[in-house]
Amino acid sequence: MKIILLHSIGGGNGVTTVTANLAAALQGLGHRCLAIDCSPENLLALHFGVASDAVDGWARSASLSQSWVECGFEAMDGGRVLPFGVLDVDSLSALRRNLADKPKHIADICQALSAEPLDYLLLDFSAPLTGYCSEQFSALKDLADYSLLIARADLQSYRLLVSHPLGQQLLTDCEILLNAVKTENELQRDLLLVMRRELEHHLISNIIHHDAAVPEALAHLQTLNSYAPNSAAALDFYLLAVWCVNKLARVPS
Amino acid sequence: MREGLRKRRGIDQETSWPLLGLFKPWLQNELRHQFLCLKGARGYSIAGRVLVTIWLLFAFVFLKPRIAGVESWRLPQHFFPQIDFSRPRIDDPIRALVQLFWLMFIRPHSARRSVKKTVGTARHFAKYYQKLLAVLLGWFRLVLEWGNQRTESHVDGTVSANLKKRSAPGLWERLSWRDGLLIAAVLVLSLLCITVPFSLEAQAAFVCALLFMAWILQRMPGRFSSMLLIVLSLLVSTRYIWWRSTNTLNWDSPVGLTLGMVLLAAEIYAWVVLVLGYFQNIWPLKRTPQALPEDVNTWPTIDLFIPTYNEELDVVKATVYASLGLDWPQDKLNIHILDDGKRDSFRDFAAQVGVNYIRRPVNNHAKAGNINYALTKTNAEYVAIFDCDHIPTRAFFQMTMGWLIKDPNLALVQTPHHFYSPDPFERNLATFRKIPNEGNLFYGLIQDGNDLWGGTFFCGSCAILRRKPLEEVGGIAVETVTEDAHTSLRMHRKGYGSAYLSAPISAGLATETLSAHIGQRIRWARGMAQILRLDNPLTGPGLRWQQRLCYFNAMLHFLSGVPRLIFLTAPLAFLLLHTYIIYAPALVLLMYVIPHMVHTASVNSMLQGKYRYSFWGEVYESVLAWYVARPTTVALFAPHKGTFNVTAKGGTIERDYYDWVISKPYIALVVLNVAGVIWGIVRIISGPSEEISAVVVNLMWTFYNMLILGAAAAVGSEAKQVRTAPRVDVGIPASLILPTGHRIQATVRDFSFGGLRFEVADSSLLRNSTELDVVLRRGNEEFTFPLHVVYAKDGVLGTRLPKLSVRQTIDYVQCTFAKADTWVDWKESYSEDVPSISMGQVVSSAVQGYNRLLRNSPKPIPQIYAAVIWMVEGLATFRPRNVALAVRN
Repeated sequence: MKIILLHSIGGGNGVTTVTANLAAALQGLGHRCLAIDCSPENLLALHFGVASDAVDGWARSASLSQSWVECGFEAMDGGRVLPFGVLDVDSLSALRRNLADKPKHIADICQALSAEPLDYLLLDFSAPLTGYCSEQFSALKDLADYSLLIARADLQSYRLLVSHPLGQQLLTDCEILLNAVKTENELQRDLLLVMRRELEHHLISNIIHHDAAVPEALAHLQTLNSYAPNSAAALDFYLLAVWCVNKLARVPS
Repeated sequence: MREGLRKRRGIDQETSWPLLGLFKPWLQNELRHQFLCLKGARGYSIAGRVLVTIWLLFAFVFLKPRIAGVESWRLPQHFFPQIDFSRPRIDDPIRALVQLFWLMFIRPHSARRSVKKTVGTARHFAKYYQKLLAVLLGWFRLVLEWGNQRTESHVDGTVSANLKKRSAPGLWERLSWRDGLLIAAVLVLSLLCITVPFSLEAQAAFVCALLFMAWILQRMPGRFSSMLLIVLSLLVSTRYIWWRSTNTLNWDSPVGLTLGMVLLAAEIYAWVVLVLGYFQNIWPLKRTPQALPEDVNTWPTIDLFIPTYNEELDVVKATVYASLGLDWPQDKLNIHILDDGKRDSFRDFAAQVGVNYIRRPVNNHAKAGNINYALTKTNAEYVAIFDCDHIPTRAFFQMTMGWLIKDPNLALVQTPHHFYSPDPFERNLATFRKIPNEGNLFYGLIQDGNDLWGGTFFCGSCAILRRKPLEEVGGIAVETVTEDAHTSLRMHRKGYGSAYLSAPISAGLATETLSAHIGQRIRWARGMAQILRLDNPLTGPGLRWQQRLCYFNAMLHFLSGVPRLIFLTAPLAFLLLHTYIIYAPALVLLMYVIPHMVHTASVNSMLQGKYRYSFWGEVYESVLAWYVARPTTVALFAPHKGTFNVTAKGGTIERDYYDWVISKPYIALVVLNVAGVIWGIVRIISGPSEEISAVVVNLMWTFYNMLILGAAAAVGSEAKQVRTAPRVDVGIPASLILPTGHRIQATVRDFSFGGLRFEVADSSLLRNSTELDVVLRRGNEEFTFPLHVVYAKDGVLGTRLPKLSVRQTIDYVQCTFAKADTWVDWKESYSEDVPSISMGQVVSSAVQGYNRLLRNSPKPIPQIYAAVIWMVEGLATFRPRNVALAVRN
């Protein structure tokens, strides 16, 4: 089982979208995937078509001192998801205190899952440093085989990645994927060129293009590949999946 | 399932059958279905209705469901495919009888017997023969492998020494006395092989042995075996020429002697060209690009000249835009439009896009004069020259400049002229990108072969010259009409080198019409003949003997007009004039000439494989023969006559037409050959019996000539060409951005300056957009261009480009025409030559040629032709057809 950790500096970069679509693309290539939602927003399950009244998740279970084992869902294509679970503000801060003693809680879940018949484990961890628990993140980062930072081709991402200490810290042992890039936009195209030059060791050559089909697929509760197989983004995710498979083929499991 | 089928069948109301009501519903449906299945393309006639009805009822009542593996009601359709039973004609009974006779008495028997017999014998023979072959090939292989290693190391040493330094020891200095002895022995032996007269049996044994050796060598990999093949071919051909010169001249008849001498001279010419060709192409250098220095600041400055005279601005614009996108430091590249047409529109365009514009006060010496004037106005270290319709790809200088920087003695790097539009041959014969065109041999093989000997010459465009040597020889030569080859000859004489890089890194427009194409070739031929007279490469200072031979062969090649005409008419001397111009018994002649032809063809097929298919060279030559014959002869005797004519490009041909003026000579030759054939047949029937074999041999030759002439005549029929901007077929991935923000995958199927055509998985993906953006990639970068949708149907999307800004146009050209790898796979896409397939292609072109010729002839001929075709086609419908007979279980 290979573990891919997807994260970003701040929210809104599309980590959850990329995680879900990458998992679907990997599933489409014939690999068995499980995605774990590590964000309190609990939106990853939405991408897998889990009904909105389902509130279970590993975090909710943790705050109720139950086992997370029963919380997983399986989507139509066989891809599986372990949601965060729905928590109100009070439970969330209680959980935060709770987990401070167990910095390896999520990592332990991952390790427990390694006995399962899985090829890839994807961790959706948006905004880990500003989020609820950065210790969990560092434990996961040690455990992950490949960690991918999701960013956009805009000035904010550029600034954070190139000169902000948060970005500098995140960039160790990790590569950057640019998401929702509008190459038809001159500013984004120029920024893409600049970032390629200045972050050349980190930026992977795959990008995900901006495509209206991505949110539409979500609205139709379908994977991108079944909703719009001929969209440019579907091709991008397919290529990204191929890239990950190749990248991780060299890592011993 | 069954229900569904019935329902579907029931829907069709085509058949309203009065009798149907009598039957049960399921039978009604069944019969209706059968009735529909037997319907021909034109529907039922009354007779057909009756006939088929009777048959179906009969089949239903009396026949078992399946007979001979076929549903019984289908039997007539199956066994008589040429008869339309739904519309019987008056002569159909005859067809039926013929087919019946064929099926009952001929086909099954012949098929069964032949298969059994041949399989049995062949298997027996093959076993024995494979064993023998394996032993023989094993031995040969050992010897050849050793030879291969030796040649590779030896020649590689020579080549790299040549490339490194001119003062390296030549081939001769490195030979020891043992090698000398060996060479002497070989020379003596081959002299014996060539000159010793043989009896008929001995000659037969000799040629069989050589053919057998060649047959084995062809199956061996490596250069050594190809060289041995060449040696065999040389031996056989030289022996043939020796025999022709010493044994076959008819000294008793003055007419026969004269004509025989003429034919012999033509054959000796062909032999010299063959030998020189082998020499030239024995080891194509296949030079690869040399890396440029790391430090960009040390890269030299380049002046890029785009000479133009009367071409349209649109044609020139493409080249300028592509030049503006060339991958070279901007401050080190100066682009100049050299306008000899003195047009203000060109000057304004140059100012608009920011390139230099040079106009000279006079117009003397055409293109050469134009460039020479520009040389005085510019000063960069290197001069790149692009004809105004040649578009350089982005990587042009990156690929070529390395060699010039590395080797200071190099005066010229030439690259191939690649054409993205079909030339008249390709268009009129419909062979574009299927059969290598005329230029492929020269740019694919010959220039590369020349490069080994340091004899690559300048071709006027798509090349870089070093300014110093160019100025040393007084600029571009103005004395001849092929100023390019002449200039490089002069630079070679000064001791400078040249290089050839066989990579399609620029592309241009081919000539439009056949007359323009021929005009261009006439100019080349005349110019080469002029150089041969004015600045003969065989004499004069400065050249190495290898370079002399390369130049000489290039010039000799253009003198092929007269010899080709002689070959096309030679058998007529015997058939019509009744003179023996080859004074030898037919059998002996065959014994000499067939090995000569077979060896030559097989070696040429091996050497030229991807670049020129067998027999096509003769077609190309035959088209030009008449036209180059006169100017080359004139230029040989009066080299100063003749003017430069510009090749017109970039136009349209509004409708199909037959170019009678230009085809006149082939038609005359065809008529002569037809007369020869008729007279030959008459002589077989009524002439003396001892002449028959000679007549047959000459008839075969005439038929071959007619084949070549037919294909040549097909070229004369100009096919329509309406697009002003030729489209280039490709398969580049792209994506389309719709106004809705959707981005879909698409493949560019073709592009031109006017627009692009895409393939998408489904037209509905486009959501009826009328405007969209296309994203094209170049390397790692993406460029977006707006498009108007012209049509979208069945997954094909036609679009038009609106007016783009200068920057956008440069980018567009960079993503399409000037993309570094656009043209690379064109070269690779040709398969290796297979002579039999190639012969088939020539035959079909010839048939097409005669067909067009007859259809376009003056008044009564097309009508007679149409009548004959109608009759033949009518008769052909009586021909029996093969029918698959099911195996009985």
